[in-house]
Amino acid sequence: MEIEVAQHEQTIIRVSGEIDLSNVGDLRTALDGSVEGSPRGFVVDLTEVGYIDSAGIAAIMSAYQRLTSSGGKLALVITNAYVRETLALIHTEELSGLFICDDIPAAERVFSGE
Amino acid sequence: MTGCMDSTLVPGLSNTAAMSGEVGMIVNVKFDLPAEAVLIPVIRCQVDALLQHMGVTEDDVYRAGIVVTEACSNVVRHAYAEPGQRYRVELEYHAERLVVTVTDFGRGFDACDVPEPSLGQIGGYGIYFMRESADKLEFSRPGGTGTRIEAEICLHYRSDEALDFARELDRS
Repeated sequence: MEIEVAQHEQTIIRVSGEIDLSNVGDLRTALDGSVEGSPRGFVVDLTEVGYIDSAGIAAIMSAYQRLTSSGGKLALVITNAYVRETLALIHTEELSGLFICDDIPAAERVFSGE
Repeated sequence: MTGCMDSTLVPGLSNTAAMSGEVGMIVNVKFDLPAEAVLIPVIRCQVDALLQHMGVTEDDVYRAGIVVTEACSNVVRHAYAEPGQRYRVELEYHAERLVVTVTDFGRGFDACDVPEPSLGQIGGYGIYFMRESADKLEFSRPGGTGTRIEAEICLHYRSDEALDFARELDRS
């Protein structure tokens, strides 16, 4: 798994590879850093992620909870059908402040107009 | 039938193939490995490579990956209080199903005590993901210690030819 954090209008954490218990610590570190640095929220680009396990989902949920508890938002960019399906298992569509987007422009629109 | 006989190497491991009266098993692989997270993707890659190569559908390959990853993660995270312990993973590949058995020798747990995750909770999704992905899932505590997770994934193929080929190997 590789992680790259870029600062555009929003912070974008770009993750590629497979996320599981063996490397979730790196993801958690990147998410924690962005929760601190971008409390209004940020984008996690999972376009290049082919697999995510329950530990990866837990890391994302932890960031989501911390962001939304202070009014922030989290936008996830997901194109892989299986990664989307895994998120659907935990009913992310019912979570306010969490946005599943098809691409980066859609994710950035989540934060525009604030 | 050597695969079925091999399974007696693991104490208490049920012999699914023998019980169901099947005549064969295509591949039987056993891993005896340290309870370390770093090896989890290695096991998942083995499952992935085997099923992909045999022409199993992407859906079933992904489901099998979830089951084996979560079962191994469960051991690594919860089975042992002390580091340096080991556990076992067995894969039984039949033409129309994959049986994944993960056995640890740790403190054991009762899967019935693990609640369904609530909306937005942080963690606690592993067993739920396994339940959602496997066609059959059983937890047991053979001999009263540790935990054995036995999961079955029904397999479908990308083509009739691939299924026929797998069935042929299953009978041989």
